[in-house]
Amino acid sequence: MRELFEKYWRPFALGLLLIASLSYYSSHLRHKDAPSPIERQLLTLTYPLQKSVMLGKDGIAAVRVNLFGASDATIQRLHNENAQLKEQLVAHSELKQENERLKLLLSFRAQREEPMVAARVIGVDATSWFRSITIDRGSAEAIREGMAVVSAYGVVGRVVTTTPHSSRVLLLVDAASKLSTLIERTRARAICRGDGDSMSLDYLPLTDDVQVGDLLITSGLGGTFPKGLIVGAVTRVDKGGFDMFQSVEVEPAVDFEHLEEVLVILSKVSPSPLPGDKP
Amino acid sequence: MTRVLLLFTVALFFLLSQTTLLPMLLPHYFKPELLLLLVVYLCLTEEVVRGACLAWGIGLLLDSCGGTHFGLHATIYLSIFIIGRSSVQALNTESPLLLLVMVFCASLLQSGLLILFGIFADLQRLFPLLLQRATFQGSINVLTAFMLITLIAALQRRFSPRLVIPGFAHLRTEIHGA
Repeated sequence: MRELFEKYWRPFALGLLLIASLSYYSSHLRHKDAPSPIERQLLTLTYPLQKSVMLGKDGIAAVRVNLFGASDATIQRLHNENAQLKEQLVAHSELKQENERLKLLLSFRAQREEPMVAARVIGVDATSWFRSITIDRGSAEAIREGMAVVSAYGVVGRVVTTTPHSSRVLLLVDAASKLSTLIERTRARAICRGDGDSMSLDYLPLTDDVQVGDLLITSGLGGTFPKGLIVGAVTRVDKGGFDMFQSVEVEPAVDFEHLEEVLVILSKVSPSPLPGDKP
Repeated sequence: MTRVLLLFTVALFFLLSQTTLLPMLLPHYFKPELLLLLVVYLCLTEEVVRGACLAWGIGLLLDSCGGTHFGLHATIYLSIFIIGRSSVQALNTESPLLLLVMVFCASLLQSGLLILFGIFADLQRLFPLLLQRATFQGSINVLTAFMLITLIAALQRRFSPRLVIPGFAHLRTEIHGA
């Protein structure tokens, strides 16, 4: 027996490790709403690195603006001035865009009654298939798992993991995302689910009236998202086939690829499962 | 131990690149999976049990910044390591372009394993996207692996010609025919 173990201890160890890994994964599946301590620790480890890269990016932009000094030679000076002005123009344009985005966020925040915390996006999902972002605010700013995240244009997603100074947000388009919505024009209710790249509506009966261009808003059911936030617009409706429900594609209101600042809604209500959720 | 720490630091740098640095420079649909390249490199160079533990750890690191199911990528990377390692023993490791072929196969295998393990995590909605983009993602990873090897080879030649990176000199020779 001992000889056998000595001969095959490597495959045995690999098998054991694979079983342990599968068990860990399956145990996490059962408690996926409660992030594991290892996950928090690893996210805490990566936060300072991500934050420093973002700060570095800002620093480089500032240095680029300030480095272009005047030269003695006129042509050189004019060249430098020209370059400096171009750099300043780019920097001003960047600042103007940031200013406009922040103004939009502020006006959105002023319109809503819920308390909110502004946060900056410091990282995107590390994989090619899932859709999430990392923001630079965490449990130290009273952010908790399940809280809604929005931008001036509409719903962004919900917080899935928090550490003291950073949080991970699951975007609406992620395949694991779902949200109870209303079609603004007809008030028909449906579950909006992410498809990885876009979104679609689930459980919308064939009899319900829905047209291309219809606006989708949050229904307020489930407790996570307040009612009336813009989710997206209908881009395709298919009533063919023999299904009981129609197939509806939705384009998100938020451009997730260019998201830089978001607002986290500090709701006190603990989210309840959606009608489509499994127990 | 130093080597393990070094590999972990490289993994951390790759993770940072995937989440923060590369998205600033590349379009969102062009997302190279640097950590997968590292796992393939481990398949070719690392001792079996240590490599398996490292692949699992790298997967956990990826899980902390990607996806919603903690442990999913750890299991996938461990499986890729075990399958890759078994294949290496059967393959002719002196064949040129082995690393690039392995990267492509590992990318396809990753998609397949995501489908397999995703069934338990209610990720069926992701399957069409996975099937649609698996080959494209594989090609991106192969291109990235080629560029990375070329870059490391150039840096090594320029700054430290005597430096020996385990397994790398062999791979570099195979791919560039030098």
